[in-house]
Amino acid sequence: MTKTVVQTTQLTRRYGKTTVVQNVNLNIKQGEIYGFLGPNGAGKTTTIRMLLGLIRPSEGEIQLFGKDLHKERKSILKRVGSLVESPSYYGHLTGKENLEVARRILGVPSKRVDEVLEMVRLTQAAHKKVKQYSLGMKQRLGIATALLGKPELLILDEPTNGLDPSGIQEMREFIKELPREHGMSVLVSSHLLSEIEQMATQVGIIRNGKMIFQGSITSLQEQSRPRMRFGVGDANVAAQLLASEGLSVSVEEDGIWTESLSQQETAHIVEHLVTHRFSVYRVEEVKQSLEEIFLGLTEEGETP
Amino acid sequence: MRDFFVLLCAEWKKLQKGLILSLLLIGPILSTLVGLTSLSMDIPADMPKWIFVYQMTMNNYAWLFYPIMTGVFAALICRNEHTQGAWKLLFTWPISRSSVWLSKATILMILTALSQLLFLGMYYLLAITQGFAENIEATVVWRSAFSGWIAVLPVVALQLWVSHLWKSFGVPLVINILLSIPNIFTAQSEQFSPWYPWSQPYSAMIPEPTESGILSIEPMTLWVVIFGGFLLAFGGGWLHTTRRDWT
Repeated sequence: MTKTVVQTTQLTRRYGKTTVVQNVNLNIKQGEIYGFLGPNGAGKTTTIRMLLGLIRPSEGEIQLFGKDLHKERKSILKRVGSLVESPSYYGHLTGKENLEVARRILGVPSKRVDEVLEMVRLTQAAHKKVKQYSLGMKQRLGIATALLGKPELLILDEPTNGLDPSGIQEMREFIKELPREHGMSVLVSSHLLSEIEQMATQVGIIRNGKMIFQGSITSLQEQSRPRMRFGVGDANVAAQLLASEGLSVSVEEDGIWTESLSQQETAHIVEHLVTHRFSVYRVEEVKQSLEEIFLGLTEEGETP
Repeated sequence: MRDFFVLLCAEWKKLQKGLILSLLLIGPILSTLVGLTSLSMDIPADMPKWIFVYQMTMNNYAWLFYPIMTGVFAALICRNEHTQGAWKLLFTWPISRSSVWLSKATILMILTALSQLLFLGMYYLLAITQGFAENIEATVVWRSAFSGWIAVLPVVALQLWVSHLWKSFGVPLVINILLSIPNIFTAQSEQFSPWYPWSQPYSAMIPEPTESGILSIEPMTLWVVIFGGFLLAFGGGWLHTTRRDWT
């Protein structure tokens, strides 16, 4: 059985009367890339900062590597690397000096600095002052810092924020290799499913502080309820006919839409339309894209 | 303990040494210039020349430059963490939060001690070039500098706390300058000067050739205002740093 790396139990955080994170049960297994998704302000960052011990939970427990974070903070954090929000660094120092400061604090051998610089391809720019770095380079330096201590768990909060498309692509490829090549587990947050779906094995979706979905990408796809589209001549009149039969249909530009139907129901509708002399030229089942499922999940009930 | 020393080294590495050195030199240099001009004044007959010049050199340094520079350094050593969000980086590393606070406080104490050494160095330089160095009673000026350093420690702790609190570089500085200005009045006042933390460096640094011991501070002021004030501000800042949420 694979080990659980992160397990939160009924994790809750309140600020005054507002509950920012509510009863979140996060579960991340070893070797997974866990995509933590949700719109901005859903509680991702607060959750992540609680995992790192920066913010205290109001209620609930956090276990990392099977140990209580509150009790064994130091020994747990030794095994975690993180990039929180914007990458942190000292601008007046060079990239290498920044890593050197971190290396001493973490107590890792000095050759590790060159290794991580190589991993994020910053060897060329190692002796440049960080304030001269581009955003993408700073982000890579942040990742390098997170990797210094050879962590078993890497926590990245919106690592692609502010990167250009090629930077995003590069970051994605990089993250994808980590479990395979270094045996790490990765928690990566984003407000865009498109960024996550190509690298994550598991996803957790959070909305208004509550976890509304947790599982594999494929099981997320199964959440999709396919709809049927009928290409019909004189769609408005045809829709009225079907509506009078008690079917819930909607007319859109490209035809009549219904919720998913069984084979018999489909046949029944076609027969009905044809006997009333409507021309039916297309019947198809349309699956929602992941993005639509995600938007559907995160927008549901958003407006009261 | 390991955390503390490692962090101390890291803090030292992070210091912008050129900037710090030039800031450290401003106070002593300007004060020594005042000391130099005092040579052309009428020196009171009952006062040795070396002590008169020391008093004149120390005047502006102790009530103005020293406490203000303490605030500047406090803001400077927290600035990198504030501007780059590096507090969070520090606190996600496997180190105790207490050692972060302690290492910053130690660096600030070292810098304020360096300031005293540079001040004394500049005074000696003036004395040597003006040919009265051999008259100086070393115990008196060293006691004055050491007492001044002890007396500035409550300000050190308080300024560090304030610098932790405010993200902005300016706020702690303005607070410090505003609190330093009343020194003009309190330093002259018998009633207030023993109680006002910002005037302690000045009171402590007044050279007293007749005294013995290593500190020239009234015991009451030393224990209540300086020691008590330091404990209060240091403890408050420590509690705040270790307990707060880093959002």
